[in-house]
Amino acid sequence: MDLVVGIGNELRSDDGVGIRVVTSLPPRLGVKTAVVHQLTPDLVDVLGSAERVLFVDAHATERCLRLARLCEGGAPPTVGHTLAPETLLAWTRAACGRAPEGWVLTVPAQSFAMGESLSPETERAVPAARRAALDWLDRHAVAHEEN
Amino acid sequence: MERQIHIEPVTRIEGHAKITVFLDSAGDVRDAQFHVTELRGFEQFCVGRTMWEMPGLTARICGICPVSHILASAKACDAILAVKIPETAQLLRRLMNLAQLVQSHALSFFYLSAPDFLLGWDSDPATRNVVGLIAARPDLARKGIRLRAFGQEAIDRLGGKRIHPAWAVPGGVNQPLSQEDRAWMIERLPEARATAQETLTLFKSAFGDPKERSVLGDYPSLYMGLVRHDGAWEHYEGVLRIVDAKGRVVREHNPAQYAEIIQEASEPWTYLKFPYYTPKGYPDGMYRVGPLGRINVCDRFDTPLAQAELEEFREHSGGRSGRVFDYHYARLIEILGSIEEMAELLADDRIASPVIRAEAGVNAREGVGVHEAPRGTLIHHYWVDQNGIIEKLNLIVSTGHNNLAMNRAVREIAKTYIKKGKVSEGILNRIEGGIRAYDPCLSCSVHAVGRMPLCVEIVNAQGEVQATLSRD
Repeated sequence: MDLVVGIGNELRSDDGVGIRVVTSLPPRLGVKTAVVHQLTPDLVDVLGSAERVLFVDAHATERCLRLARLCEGGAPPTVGHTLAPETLLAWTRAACGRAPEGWVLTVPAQSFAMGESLSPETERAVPAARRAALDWLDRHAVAHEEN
Repeated sequence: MERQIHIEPVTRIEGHAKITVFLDSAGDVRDAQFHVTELRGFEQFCVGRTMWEMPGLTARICGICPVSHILASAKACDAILAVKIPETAQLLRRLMNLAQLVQSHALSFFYLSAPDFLLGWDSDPATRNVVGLIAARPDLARKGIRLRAFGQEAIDRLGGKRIHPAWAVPGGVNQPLSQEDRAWMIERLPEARATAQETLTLFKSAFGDPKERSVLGDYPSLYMGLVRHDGAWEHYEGVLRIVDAKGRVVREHNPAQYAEIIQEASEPWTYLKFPYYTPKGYPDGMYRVGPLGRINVCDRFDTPLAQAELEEFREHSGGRSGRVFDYHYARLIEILGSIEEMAELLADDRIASPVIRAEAGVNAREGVGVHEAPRGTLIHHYWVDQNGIIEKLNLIVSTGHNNLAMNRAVREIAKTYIKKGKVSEGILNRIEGGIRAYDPCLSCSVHAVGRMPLCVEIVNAQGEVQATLSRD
């Protein structure tokens, strides 16, 4: 099973772009989607049953769409709700004995002000981000067929 | 020479707080104060909004217990509409409140508190958290995570989302339960029940001796909570019962008339008010709510597994318990009882009816909504004009009821573990643990997942800092 997780707050403008992208994906066999405000240990269980996971999130400083492979680990969390995808993968391995192959797709974001709409720049990036997520899912499907 | 010890911030609770311990000239504890340093102001800025907005607005008080505020608010609005909501809506609201009890209690037990007593009070703070629990007890941690996820998913399926679901509305709820979601919950209940039972067994094997459970203080108080009209454990309606330390019923009262028996005092050193039982005065009218309060006020559970656990708890506690640590024990019993009642509700076909909302306008100028949130009795009281515009409101939140008791807990623990001015990190952990047992939700703010900064200042009577203990 593949898992696609949209991260963000839809009430803080572009911060909600990850959720926008993930909720726009068509249903597919063998693919689960989830949307969350932030990463928490609650996701460990569903991650433990996934083969691959793609996190889709807004990024304040990057200027282009970026798809990157994640390495498990990272610094332990300190204060508050901040939890990196890499750390969550490491927790999943600790709790479930395995962890999925992790990827992150970041979408450039301009505004994190109060508001339910995306900035024009981030709005324009949504179709490309959606295509990137679908390509990521297709590549996995091809890999399965080749196997 | 008198000294003060400050502990700031208190970790792994919902919100911000600090603790000051006052020492006398011999270095022994004279007093202790639990300060809540946040100010939210909901009772001010909701004035002028319509009553129809209140469930959604007050849900934003907290990200952990929005369901509790939504339900209390909807009940207050029902009273303003002066309607009897449809039976199905009543059953669905009960179901959601039970799911909320499960997810919130699982969060409190597995994520926030269990690391203290399952990994050791004095273990390394860097690993004494849910991460450490995952590493040390992966199977238990995973089951705890799945238990909380079950409660959250049930809320999500009922309300459309797991945080701030705009589902309970004045007059009922706005979405019926689908057959698919009903089937999903029924399928997941056995696993949730097994986890609750297994965790109770583990807890009792580790802390079967009541003396072990006195570590965070043991003192008498009044207890308050809703019970059914026949005295059974309740969480959504019924009568407000107050019992004494021996379990004798002091009062049973109409929840809508709470103001006749509860008043609130203020202190200049904290933003959190101090509710007290009026006939006993302030501060002697201290009472406790929440899991231990509900367990102590009820005569019985109406579900067999929780009832058996309650009987065992009382047998080994000599009746009612005043031990702060027993909040954790009570929390586990309530998880089990909640899961059992969820099973009963889901087996009842009346829960699947599409008749879920009563329509009406403003028929009363005042409404009170009371129910049991995970942390205790939650009261929403609204006054409106003829158009339903809020003119005044009063919210008494669950954590507030326990304010006097939490201060007492800190004082009791400090007296036991601080002698002649000697302090250590282990002692501080126990003081924090005493607060955490009440699972205070001071707002919707941060809780720590990992190592937290901790600063202890020892200040003499002249205001000079004599020593500072800290960790980054």
